[in-house]
Amino acid sequence: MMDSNLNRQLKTTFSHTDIPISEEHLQETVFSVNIELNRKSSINRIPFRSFLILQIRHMGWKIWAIQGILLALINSVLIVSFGKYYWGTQRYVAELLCFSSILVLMTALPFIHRPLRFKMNEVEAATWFSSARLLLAKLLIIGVGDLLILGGILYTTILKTSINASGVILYIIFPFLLACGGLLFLLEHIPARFFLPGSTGMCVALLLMLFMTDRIYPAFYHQTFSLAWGIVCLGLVVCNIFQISRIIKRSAFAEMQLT
Amino acid sequence: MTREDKLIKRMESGDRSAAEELIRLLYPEILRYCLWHAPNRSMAEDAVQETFLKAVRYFDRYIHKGKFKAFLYQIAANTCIDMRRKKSFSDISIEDLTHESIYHETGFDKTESDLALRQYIELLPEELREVVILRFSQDLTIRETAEILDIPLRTAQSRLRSALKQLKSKLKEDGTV
Repeated sequence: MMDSNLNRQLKTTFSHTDIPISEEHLQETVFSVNIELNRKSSINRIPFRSFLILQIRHMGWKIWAIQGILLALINSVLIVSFGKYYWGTQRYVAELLCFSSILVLMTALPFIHRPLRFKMNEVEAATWFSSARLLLAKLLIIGVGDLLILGGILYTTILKTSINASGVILYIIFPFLLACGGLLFLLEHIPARFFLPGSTGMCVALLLMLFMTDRIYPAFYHQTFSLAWGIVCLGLVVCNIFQISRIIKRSAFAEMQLT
Repeated sequence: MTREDKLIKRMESGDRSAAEELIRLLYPEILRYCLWHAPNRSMAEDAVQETFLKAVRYFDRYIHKGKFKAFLYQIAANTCIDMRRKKSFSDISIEDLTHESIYHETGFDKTESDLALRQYIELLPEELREVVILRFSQDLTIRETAEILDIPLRTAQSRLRSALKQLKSKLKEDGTV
C-alpha cells in the first residue's frame, strides 16, 4: 500500500514537471546534426582490404623487418655458440624453438604499445578507419608476420635436425599461443601505460619458466604433438579468438562512448 | 511499427528529414534526462546536442532492433559524465544545485514535498538513482531501464525496490508520507 502510494507520488511529482523547450536550441541541434550528416556523406569510404594494404605500407613492413632481423640474429648467435652439437640435441632445439616463438611475438610489443602510449589510436582512427578495424588490421599484420617467421623456423628446424616434425610444431605453437593469450589478456585488462612493462614482464617470466622447466622437468622437451597437446592448443586458439573479439567489441564501444 | 521505428528506417534509407523529425521527437525526454545529470540547463542542452551528434556519427554501426532509445540514453549518460569530468563539476554539492535553483530554472517549480522527494532522489547512491530517474522521470518500463543500464532485468527490479525502500524511510522520518 505504502509502495503504491510512493509510486504514485513519484509519478505525480515527475509528471508535473513541465520542461520548457528552447526552440532556438532545438533548431541549433538540428542544424549541427545536418552539418554532421553532410560531413559524413562527403567521406570516401574504402574497403577493409585497401585499408589493410595502407597499414602494411605504413607500418607492417617495419614489424616484419624487425621480426626477420631478430630471427636471423637468434639463429646466428645460437648456431655460432653451439655449433653442430646444438642442432643434434632435441632438448636444446625444443628450448630454442620455445624461446624463438616468444621472442618473435615480443617484437610486436612496441607497435601495439606506441599508439596506446601516445593515445594515437583515436587520431589514427579518425584519419583512417574505426579504432576496432585499426586494431584488427594491426593484429592481422603482426599475426601474418609471426606465422611467416615461425613457419621459417619450422622449415629450418625440420631440415637441419633429426627431431620429428610433430615435436617441432608443438614447441613452436604451444608457447606462442600461450604468450599470445597472456598479451591479449593484458591488452584487454590493464591500463595502456602499464601494457609495455606488463607484457615485457610476462614474456620474460615465460622465458624464465621455460628455461627452468628444462632444469626441473626435462621430459617436457621430449614430447610430441599428441592428441592431448592438440586439445590444449585448440583451447588456447579458441581462448585467443574470444579475447580478440572482446577487445574489438570493447574498442568499438569505447569509440561510441558506450562504456 | 512505432513512429520511432519508421523514422529510423527512413534514416537508414538516407532520408535526411527523418533525422530532424527524430530529434524533435526525442529532444524533450533526452533534455529531461540530461537535466538530472548536468549542473545547469546550459550544460544539459550542450549534452543533448552532443548526444544527437554522436548518435548520427555512429548511426552506421547501430543495428536497429527496436532499442534506439536505449542507444541514445547510453550516449547521453556518458556524454554527461564526460562533460562533468571536463568541467570539474564533480565537486558541486546537492545543496549547491538546489540553491542554484536548477529546478526553477528548468521549470521544476514544485511544492515543498516534491522538492523534498527530489532531494532524496539526488541523495540516493548513483546506481539506484539512475533506475528511479529512468523509471519515473523518463517514464520507461523496468525492462527498458534494464536495457539502457545494460543490467539484467532482475537487477533493475531489485535496485528499484531498494531505492523505493530508502526513499520511503526518508519520507517517513520527514513525516512527508
